[in-house]
Amino acid sequence: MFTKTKNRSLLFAAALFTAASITACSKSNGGDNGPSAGNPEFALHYSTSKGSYLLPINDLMSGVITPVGKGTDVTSIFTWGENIIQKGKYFYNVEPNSGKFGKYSFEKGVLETVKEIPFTAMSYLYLGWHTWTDDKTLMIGGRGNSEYAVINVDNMTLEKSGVFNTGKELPKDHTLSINSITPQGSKIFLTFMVRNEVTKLTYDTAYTASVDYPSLNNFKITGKDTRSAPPGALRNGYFHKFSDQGNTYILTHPMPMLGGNKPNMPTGFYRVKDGSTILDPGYFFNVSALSQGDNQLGVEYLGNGKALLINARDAKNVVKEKNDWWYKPMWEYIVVDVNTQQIVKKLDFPGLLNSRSAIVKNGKAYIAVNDAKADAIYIWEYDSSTDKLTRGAKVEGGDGDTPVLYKLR
Amino acid sequence: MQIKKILLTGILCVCIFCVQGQKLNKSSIKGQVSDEQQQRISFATIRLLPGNKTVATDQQGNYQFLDLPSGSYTIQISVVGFKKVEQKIVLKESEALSLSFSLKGSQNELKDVAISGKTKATKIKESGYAVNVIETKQYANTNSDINQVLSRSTGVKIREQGGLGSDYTFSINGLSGNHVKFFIDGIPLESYGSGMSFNNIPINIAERIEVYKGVVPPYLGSDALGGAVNIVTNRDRGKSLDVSYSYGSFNTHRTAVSGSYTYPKSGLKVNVNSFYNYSDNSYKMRTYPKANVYLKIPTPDGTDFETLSSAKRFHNDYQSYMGQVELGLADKKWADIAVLGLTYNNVKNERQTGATQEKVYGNVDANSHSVIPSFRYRKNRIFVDGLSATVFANMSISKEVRTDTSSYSSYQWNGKPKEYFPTKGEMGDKSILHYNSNNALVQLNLNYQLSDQHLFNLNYNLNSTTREGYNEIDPYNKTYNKTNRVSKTVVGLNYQQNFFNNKLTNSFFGKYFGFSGRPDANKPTETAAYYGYGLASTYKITEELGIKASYEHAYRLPGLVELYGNGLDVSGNHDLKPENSDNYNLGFFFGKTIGKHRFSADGSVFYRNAKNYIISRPYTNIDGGAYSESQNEGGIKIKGADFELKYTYGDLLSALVNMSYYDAVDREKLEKGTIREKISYGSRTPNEPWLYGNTDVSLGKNNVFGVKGNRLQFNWYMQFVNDYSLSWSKLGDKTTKDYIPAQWIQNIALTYSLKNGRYNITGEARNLTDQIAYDVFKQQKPGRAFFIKLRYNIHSF
Repeated sequence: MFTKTKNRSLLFAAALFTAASITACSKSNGGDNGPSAGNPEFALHYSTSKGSYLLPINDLMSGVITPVGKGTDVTSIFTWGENIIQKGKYFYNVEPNSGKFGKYSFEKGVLETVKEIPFTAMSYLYLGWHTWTDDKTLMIGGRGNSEYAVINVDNMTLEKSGVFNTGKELPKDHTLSINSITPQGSKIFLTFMVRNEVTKLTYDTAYTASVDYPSLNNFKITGKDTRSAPPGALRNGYFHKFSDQGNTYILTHPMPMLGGNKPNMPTGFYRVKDGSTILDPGYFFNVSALSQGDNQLGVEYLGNGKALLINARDAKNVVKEKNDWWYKPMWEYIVVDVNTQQIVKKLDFPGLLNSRSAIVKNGKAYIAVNDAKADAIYIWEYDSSTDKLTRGAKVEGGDGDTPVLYKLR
Repeated sequence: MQIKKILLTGILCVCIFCVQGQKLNKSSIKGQVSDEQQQRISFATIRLLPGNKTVATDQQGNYQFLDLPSGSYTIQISVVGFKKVEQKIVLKESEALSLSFSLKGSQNELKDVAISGKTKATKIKESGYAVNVIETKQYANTNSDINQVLSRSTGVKIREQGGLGSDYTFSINGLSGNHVKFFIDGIPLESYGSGMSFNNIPINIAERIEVYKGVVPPYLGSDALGGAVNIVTNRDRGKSLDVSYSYGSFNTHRTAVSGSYTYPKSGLKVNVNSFYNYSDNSYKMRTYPKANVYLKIPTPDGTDFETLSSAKRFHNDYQSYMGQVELGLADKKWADIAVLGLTYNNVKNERQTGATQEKVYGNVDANSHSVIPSFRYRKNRIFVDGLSATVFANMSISKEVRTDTSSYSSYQWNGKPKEYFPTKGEMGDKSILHYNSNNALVQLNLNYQLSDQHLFNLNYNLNSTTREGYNEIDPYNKTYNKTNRVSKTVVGLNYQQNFFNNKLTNSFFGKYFGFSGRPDANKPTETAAYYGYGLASTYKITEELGIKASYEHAYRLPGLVELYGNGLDVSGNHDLKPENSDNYNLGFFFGKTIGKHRFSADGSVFYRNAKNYIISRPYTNIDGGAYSESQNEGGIKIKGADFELKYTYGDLLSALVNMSYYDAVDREKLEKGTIREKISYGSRTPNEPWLYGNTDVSLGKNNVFGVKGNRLQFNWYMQFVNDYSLSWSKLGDKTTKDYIPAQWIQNIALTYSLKNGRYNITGEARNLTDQIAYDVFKQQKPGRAFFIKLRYNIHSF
């Protein structure tokens, strides 16, 4: 009887509102970013006025990348963009509001949950850094503190967590703020700043240390440097180091708000020579000195000692309030060479909104260019060997926030 | 200055009417209609033949016909439950005939008579406005509150977050939230403080509810974008008493007492209205894979999640009470009614969830109370015949406290808290937030009946709100500590004309909205003015069938919190503009009686074009703090239709079916301040049911079990809500989309009444089939519940 009623009522409703439906107009979806079949090679995470989406990209250089009928609305999955960690087709995320660590796979253009586990191993669930100690072992840590957690992502178990034990290396009431972390076999090399928990001040000094792995004991400070700090990034997901010819280059992030807030210090590269655990005292590439004192953030390594950075043009005068760090069109892409210690190129765009991600494939960089005055975000290809810029796919619906590109294979 | 100007304009209008009024020297008839106990009968239909002029008695049983030519007439008086009276009269030139009637009949028993007179509800329905009128008499024995009765009505959707007293969003034809305004007896609900709400006012307090869709008559003096709801209460009834108590599932208790008494000699009058509600709201939450709902909690060792099949709500107690006493005089030379009143309300509310049920609270409470002194005055025939005035003034003094001091960041559905953080509450840092707000309202309504054909109405409203907020835990923090003020003036002028023997009625109206606000004591006052206008027309093709059309260019001014924030979790936005909408309605009504069969139908189509739409957007700042801020958006376009069919057979059977549909789409092509096309342009707005309907069937019999004056009545009610998308349905891969499944909720009730409705007992089952039903943002609603209600009701003693 119940189903009968249901069907009859539905029929009734259908009959009455046929007229209304006939008049309802529909809008075509516009373009399409290539055939949707198969596994896309790239992905884009960005926010729109209607939520944030993880979208598949089949073709970086043509068509339209749109959430209409595609991708996954990740507004309630990735609630804090800086907490996303991607490796191949897998995405990992710490969800700070509900205390969850999740593993997701992005296949056929759709994000699916592999597994979520409770995650309360750290007191502050906004990540400052992560590193892979092997293919299945992920190490993460909080922003601005010395807490860490080691997770086996194959079976999604928490293997270890705690606070870096600095022993007698640091006075009491002092904590680490880790800025870069590099596994070196049975050791881990750390760069960090030190914070006095009594005065609540972070010293203007870049520290280096080594610690045994996997025990994470035997913490030893290996050096100090005051040319710039913090040695690396303050927030997870900000590109800050790469290796070239056996040397590791670490970009400092003294920038206010997005970095360590050391306006008195320049942005630049430290060098760590192969196998060394100290910052090379004979090397510092002062990028700020070449850019009228501006600060930079890292975007991607292009190869041959060249890196793509974004420069906060004249932020000292442009930034009036906190949000301006993201939404003032002051950012410009620059290419620097750590070997010649020169800014080799400023990409020819007007002032852009904050952008900090790129994909490099076959020596070409693909960047998401968010020009507030343009009709959309566009992907651009930059070929550093020919110094050529080409406009590619259009990204529909993006707002002023930073789009992030991922390479899935 | 502004106020002076408006008052002067009003007085000028009155003078013009007076001058015109004095020119007339035609005859008139007036009088009263009462029953055998000399209790006056309101809404009786008085018909004058020839000419077929019809009026209804007012709440004191008074009626009058003006501007009549001399001659012979037949006057007919009819009202449900009484024998029809007919009398022949001869009217001389310039005669003011006084003629009162006493009707015979049983006043509590609905007789099987063909009803020739129209009820007040029918009359309002047949006005040009798109309006639903719900006579609450039929629900008086049920355990419903105002919202539950309203949700049976076309074009209305109430979305509740949970059980008794939970937060709700009210929508009329697709415009919801702040876009809709609420009134009690024409007084804006917001002027009664924070404790009066449609989810706690029991149905017994109301006599009738009017829902104006899109076009709001000016006598409801307020800025409403999408429509208005007006509750007409049972007051000034002479002598009456209605006492009820109900008890049911989730330890729910509800009591309501309303009564009035007028001392016949002195005219001294006492009205009492009060209610008390309590519920644990401890209904079961369920895991429901079909809706992608899983109640997950960490396993005891903390390494994984486990899924609970169900969990009881554990922090959801709700208590509210209200008491209103009015004392005054009736039927004096200088006043028909002059009443002083005092209202007190108090609400204690435990919060169980945040905006979604994933965020579980275990220790967040909100308490509020308000004291509201008031004054109201009414006088018909003030200065001249045909001019009547009502004045209302009140002041509400409200205090609200929200406590969030658990030391835990959140709770889980097993009732246990998560990590311990000594400085944290569940909504952020520990806080005890105090909001003190005062609201003053002055309302003046003038009606002038120039002749049978021409009626004028002038409404003046001044509403002033101040608000202060601070955090008891952090009292010196200036972010929290804020005092601000907003004043709104609304003036409405309506002209109604009736032609062709009342077959054609047109109303034309204009509204003025004045605004002045001050963000805090040190800032200058900001002012602005806006003008709205509209019209409503109805044409009766035959006595049974009519059509109506209405239009309004409506405004809503931003509120105090939207403009200046609350200093806590809502940031102000000074740049907000008033939202406006062009609202169109076209409808028909039909009613036919053949013997005991009565059939009625009405339907309408509508269109809304809302611009500068004010939307509250949540945002998270860099430190993870959750805030919201209101912004003007491009707005939405809505088109839709609804209908209702009703059939009754004497007092044995009544059956109703209705259906409502609307399609609300984003009307703005480009993102604000950019040349980027919106991905939602032309798409249906999410998280709103867009197709829903109700069926309501009652079967009853009088004089059952061989006892005279009793009645047994059975009611079956079903609500249907079609499935709808939780987010913009076009966006994202189809396989990833979350829908709220279609719902078919069934309620049944059985009432046994004795002594012509004096004693009533009702057993009621809600959500009989125990469906898992969701509402806004997929919040689960209560499952099956049982209630029993006892009610005592008399109209004279």
